[in-house]
Amino acid sequence: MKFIHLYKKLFVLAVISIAITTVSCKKLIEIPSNPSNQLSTARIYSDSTNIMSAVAAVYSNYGAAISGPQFGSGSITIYTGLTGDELIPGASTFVGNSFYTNQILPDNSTVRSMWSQAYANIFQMNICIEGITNTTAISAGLKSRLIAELKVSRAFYYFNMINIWGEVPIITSTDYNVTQVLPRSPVAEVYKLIVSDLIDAQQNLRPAYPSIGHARPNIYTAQALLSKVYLYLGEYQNAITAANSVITNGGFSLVQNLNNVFLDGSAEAIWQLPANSTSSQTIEGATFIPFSATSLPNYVITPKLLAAFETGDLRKTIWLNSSTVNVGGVLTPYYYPYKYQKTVAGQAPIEGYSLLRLAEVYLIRAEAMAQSDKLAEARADLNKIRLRANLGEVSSSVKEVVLNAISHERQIEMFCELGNRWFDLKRSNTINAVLSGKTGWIPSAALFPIPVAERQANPALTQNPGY
Amino acid sequence: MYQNYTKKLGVTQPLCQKIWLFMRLTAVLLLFSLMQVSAASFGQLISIKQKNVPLKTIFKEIRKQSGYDFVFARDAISDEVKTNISVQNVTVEVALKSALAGLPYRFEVSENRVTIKKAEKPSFFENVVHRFQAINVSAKVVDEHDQPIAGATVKIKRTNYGVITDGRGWFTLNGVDEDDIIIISNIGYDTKEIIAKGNYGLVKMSLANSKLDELQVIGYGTQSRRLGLGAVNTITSKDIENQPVTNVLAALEGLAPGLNITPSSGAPGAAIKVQIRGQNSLNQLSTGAKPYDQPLFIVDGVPVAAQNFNVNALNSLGGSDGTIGDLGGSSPFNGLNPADIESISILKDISATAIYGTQGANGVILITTKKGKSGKTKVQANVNTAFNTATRMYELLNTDQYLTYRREALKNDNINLATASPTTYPDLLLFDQNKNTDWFDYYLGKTSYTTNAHVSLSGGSERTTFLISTGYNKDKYNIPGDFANSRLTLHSNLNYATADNRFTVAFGFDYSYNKNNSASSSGITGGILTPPNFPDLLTDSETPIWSYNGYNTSQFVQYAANLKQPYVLKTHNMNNSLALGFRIIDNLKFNLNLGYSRILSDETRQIPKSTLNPNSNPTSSANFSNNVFETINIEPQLNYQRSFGRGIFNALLGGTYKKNNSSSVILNGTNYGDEALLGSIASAGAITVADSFNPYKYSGAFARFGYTYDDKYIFQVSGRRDGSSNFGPGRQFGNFGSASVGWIFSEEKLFKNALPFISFGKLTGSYGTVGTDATAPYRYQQLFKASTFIPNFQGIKPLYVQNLLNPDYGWDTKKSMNVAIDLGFFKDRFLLNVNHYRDRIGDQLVNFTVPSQTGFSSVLRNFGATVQNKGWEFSLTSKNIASSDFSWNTTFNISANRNKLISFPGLEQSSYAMLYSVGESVNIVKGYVLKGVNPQTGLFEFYKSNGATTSNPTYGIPSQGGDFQTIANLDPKFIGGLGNSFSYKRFNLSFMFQFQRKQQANYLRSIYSGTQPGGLINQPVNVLDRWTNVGDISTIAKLSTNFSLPAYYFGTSSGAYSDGSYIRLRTASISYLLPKVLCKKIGVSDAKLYMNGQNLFLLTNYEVGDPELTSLSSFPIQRTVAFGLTINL
Repeated sequence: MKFIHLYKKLFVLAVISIAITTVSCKKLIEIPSNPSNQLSTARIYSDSTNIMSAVAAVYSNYGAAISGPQFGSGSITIYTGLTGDELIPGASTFVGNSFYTNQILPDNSTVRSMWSQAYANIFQMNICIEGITNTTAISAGLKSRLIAELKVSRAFYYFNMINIWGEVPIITSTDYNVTQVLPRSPVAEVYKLIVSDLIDAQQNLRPAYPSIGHARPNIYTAQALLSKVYLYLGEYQNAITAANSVITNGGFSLVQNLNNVFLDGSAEAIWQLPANSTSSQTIEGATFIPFSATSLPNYVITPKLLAAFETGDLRKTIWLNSSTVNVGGVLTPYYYPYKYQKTVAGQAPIEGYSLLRLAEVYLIRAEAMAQSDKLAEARADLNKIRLRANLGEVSSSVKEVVLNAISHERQIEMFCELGNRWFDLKRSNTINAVLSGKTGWIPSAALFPIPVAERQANPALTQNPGY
Repeated sequence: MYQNYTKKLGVTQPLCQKIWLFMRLTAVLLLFSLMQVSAASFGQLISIKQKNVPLKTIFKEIRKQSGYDFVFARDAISDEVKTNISVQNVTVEVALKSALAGLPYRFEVSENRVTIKKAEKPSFFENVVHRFQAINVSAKVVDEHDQPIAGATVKIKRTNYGVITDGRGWFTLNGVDEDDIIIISNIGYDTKEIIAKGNYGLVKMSLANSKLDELQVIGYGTQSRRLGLGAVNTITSKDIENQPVTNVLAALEGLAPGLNITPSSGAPGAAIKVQIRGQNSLNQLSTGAKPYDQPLFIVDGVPVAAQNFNVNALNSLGGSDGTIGDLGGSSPFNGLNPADIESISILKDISATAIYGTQGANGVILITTKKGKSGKTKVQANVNTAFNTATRMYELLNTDQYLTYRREALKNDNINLATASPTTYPDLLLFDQNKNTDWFDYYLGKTSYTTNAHVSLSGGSERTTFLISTGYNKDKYNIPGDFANSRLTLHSNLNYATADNRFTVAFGFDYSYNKNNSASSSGITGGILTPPNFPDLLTDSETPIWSYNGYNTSQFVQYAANLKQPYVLKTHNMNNSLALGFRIIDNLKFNLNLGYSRILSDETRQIPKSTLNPNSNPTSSANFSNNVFETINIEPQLNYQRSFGRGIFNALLGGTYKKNNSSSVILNGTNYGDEALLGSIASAGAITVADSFNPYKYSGAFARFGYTYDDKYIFQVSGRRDGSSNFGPGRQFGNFGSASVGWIFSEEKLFKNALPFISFGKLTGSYGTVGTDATAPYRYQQLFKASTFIPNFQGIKPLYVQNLLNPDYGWDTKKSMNVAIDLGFFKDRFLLNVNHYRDRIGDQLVNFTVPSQTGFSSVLRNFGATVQNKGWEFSLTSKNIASSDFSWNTTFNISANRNKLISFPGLEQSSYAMLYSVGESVNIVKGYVLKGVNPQTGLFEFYKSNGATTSNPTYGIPSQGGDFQTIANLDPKFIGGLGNSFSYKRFNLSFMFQFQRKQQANYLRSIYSGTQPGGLINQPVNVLDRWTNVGDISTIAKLSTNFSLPAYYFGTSSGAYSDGSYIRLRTASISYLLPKVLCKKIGVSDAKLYMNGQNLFLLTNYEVGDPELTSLSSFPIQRTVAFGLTINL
């Protein structure tokens, strides 16, 4: 009898255990609300620390701390240097050749990486703007400041993108149902967004940098970028106004020792990201500086750029360096960019990644002044830069001469720095004249191709002519 | 007009003919052997097993066996009178009773004579007497080890009334006539007939003789092929034990139709991909590689924690792709010793897999390990040593050929060697022009050894059985250096049943330790292509030589240096199972299966500074990785079975709860000061850490009802509700169901009379739906994660957004249909099984490609595309000859799966247009159609989509203005195997051919990917067929050292794919059982000497490399010959 009793109990147990599995299924498949190493959006925007982390990712996404070229660091400098007249592929022929010969295929993986890296970071900016707009976890003041910071970044990205690809889709939403079908917007539309983002930012940012160093935009960062944008748009008075504020109120100064311009904490830096990778310092340093004084650099300065330096230009001796390579028994010097002079891994980075610096703002104002026929002011700004490079002053009163001098000064001062030369050639409409002698040059190469894979994924995307 | 160029790439005539000839020959041999009749034995005791034969025939047989004469009136028994009989070693009387049961005859036996008379119709009185004489029959049914058999069917032959044995094997039949014949049948045993008498005591059943009655392990139970409804193939230990393989998955190749096995590489420990009935999912990983649909793997009821995915996270020689949960690395099945496996069931259709629900959507592979048997305690030992060599070694250019070829390339490029830099052309200007090294031989020419030992102890009493076995195995790599994949396994189980068999316990514990000791890079085989006159790579003290006369040798020396970078993977594998059974009432049983599987892998990979080119200022680095895979499953079940009149009804009600956890931590240490410290992470100059967590929970409830009527008609329906944690709120549950029917038509009288040579015939059909949830967890939320390698931004840990938000994805659904026919000829000596199936998978859950402007390259969503897999499977088994001294068995299977994309809304406008075409397989390759080498220019030419010829085709499909066409279909057209085994007295010989017909990327694709012939790299001798002069017709374009677009396009052209069909002698084995006398002398009960070979021989038109591998630089498949000895104490 005892046994039967036990059996009955077991029967009940059996029925219960099956009932549990069937009835309370929902409980059975509950897993923790997030994986141990990830957080969901709701949690991110309900906590101030998490919000700061999400915004920090925007800056890290520039890639200044990553050891390979990224859209926000290195790529623009290197690849537009090759398509323009600054660089020749040295040891890195594999990737570099098609850029140098201006024969980029529409399926070029480097171009596609640049495109997707740009939009990946724009997504991070957009989701932060959306999340911060709706959060109650932080004060209204911090909200508007963070959004302003993000808009400076967004403007910086779109500015570079339209100068590389021409028309690009304007993405300000995180909803893929909306964004996946958007076509390219006219350049003017994109500029409209850039200007409005920067004006917004200007209103909500303060003169003080939000954090240590010059890594996160302050009001002058927004204004410096705004002055550049206005210059590109030909709105010279606006450019002058913005540049004036930066130069007069920003507290920046030109670093006289050219070896120190790109050091972290440089007084000239208006926007400078920390380069704190463990495996390299800046991307430019790691890419341009060869392993030894006798090995071929990855990229070599073109003879044309080399020749463009005036005699006695300190920038030629300090911002260029050379390695001596044995080519068939002949020792040949190969010059490479040396603005960033550190490559050694494993030590605390002492250089920072420069996005905007005072010298450029001087040149922007000089150009805007010259265009506005204020040649004396233009010369004054221009000569500040020339003086630092140990060059004589420009004294011409002819507008064209001054403009040419400024253009030349931009070529030298801003060489191999964020595509400035390439962009200048295009906005001045001199690109065909300047590059006509280059093997493989065709006018349509002024714009990079829209990656084939992108067009396949979004048939609304048109291709640039010539691809 | 477009032509279908893919057709040109099929099996070429000679091979086709060979295959055809081979098949015809086999067929003839089979038929011949079937004509043979086994010699009958004579004696007083009668054994007959016949179904539906004329009574007179039975009399003849009894007469033949007993010598008794038969006397009956000439017209008393017509030919139409037929009967069934199934007796073994019984007296003449019993045999006659069985034969005449239910028929209106009676018999008398006197002397040596049997008289048959018509039975008079019994009078009323007689009937009443009969009633009173009715007896109750009870007996205990046991197996050959005297273990009770529960659930056996017991029937009165005359009335077909039946019962089922209880948990202790007992049955009681009431109201049985004294001379009634009682039939007892059970799956896996020969049917037995006994004559009714009161208490029978023990009835011993003997194991089935027919393949149809052998036991098959299926989902939560066993069944016979005779009564089964599902498409199930069973591979037994016999098929596995004579294959000298370390990974059991490798042994399955060619053994089951519809099962496609693809080795990821030939390296010891490398993963082996398994697929059943084709690729179901379109799912694309962000890397662009398609995830490979694999079945669910279950060992002794416990799902394998890592399934068939990588257990390594770091790159190594053994595992090429170091992504956890990916394919192509180290196999989790390295922890399972093939010697411990009893059987492997391959469940293919919905009828067989429905019980596993979504988990089994891509088929199920059930691995059952060996269990102890009651009786004498047995010790078995097996030892062998094997020799391994690389197969398909190919000939490379020797120095003479190589230098000529290089000079020609330079000439074509108008390069003047006299003024060229020596370091640009070191092979021509710096290296010894006479030195000649065969680098294939250098890297892979070594013969390596495998050592294998296995000991098992088993035994037990009637109620308790046990088995303990342990195995050791060491596979060495045939590359320079002391590398090996070694393993130690412990397998054990304990089974217990109470005296009344009401309560049963089965406990299994398996533990294994696997150590893979190899080098840190998967690309070592690339060193094969080092120029033949390249200087020595290493000094006498084995340090790399990084420069030679000013030339930086690292491009090729690095391969040898990589061998100095140690890698160790230690895997601990534990599999525990506990099955409790409790019979609540006679017909109702409760089972609870508990399982726990855990795989723990621990890796270190070291890159000492001394193994890197000093020119690049290297520092030493090391990686450490720990990965854990865990699965817990709990499965309660209620099982009800009872007979209703002539039928048996069963119901299964159950639930599944499964919890899966996989996590990994990878530590990367860089900037080590001294490379002697590489074993320590704390000594690294800088450390980065990555981790991952993948929790998964799954639960399901199911019901299955089956009814078998009269052993002829079988019905089964099942329904289930599944929940998965991989989906977001509201999408977690899905309902699925299936129905199947079977008809054993050979049991129909009409059929028996018409086609008596067909001993068995069954038609089955099934249809059902199932869903899959194969995706990563948590993707229904927008997630943020810290990056592994990027340092803090000004002291703040950045959190990166991980995905696009789509909370609405859910199960994809598979609709599955299967029809099958089973036929047995000549008393089941020849068995044929044909399956036809069609699976359609809709609502595809895919990482759908979106433009990067959305921020990401893909979003996880259900997509309205439908993929179909449709195919035929044939398998044959034949006992060609079965005599006491000599036997010959043949098995043959062939299957053809056709994959097809049925629909894909908006395909043309999507990025998938480059990959897929509606109406074609999802495994097609699109690219340019090669015309050949232009005899005038020496450059490759392609066809444009308008038919014109060009050396510069346009990227993209025709509707987008491009020239892409479908250039290859990588699905195998058919796969199969042919096995033969012969035994003559103490000798046994068996061999198995495995074959595939398919297209495959060829060696030219390897040659033209990223490089082209003419550069500073060696090539197979086949490149000598190159264009040299105007007018040359050749396969290889003009040699050049420069990048050229036509050569670049060639890599994605039809020229890069060719016929990869092959026939491989997968296994051959000879064994010899030592004579008893000798065994006695050496004190063992029996002993066997054997020689087993694997991958002995390959017949293919595939030019260079192995058609089973994907590239020239894959680690070659190993040819293994093992010599060994098995002893039973």
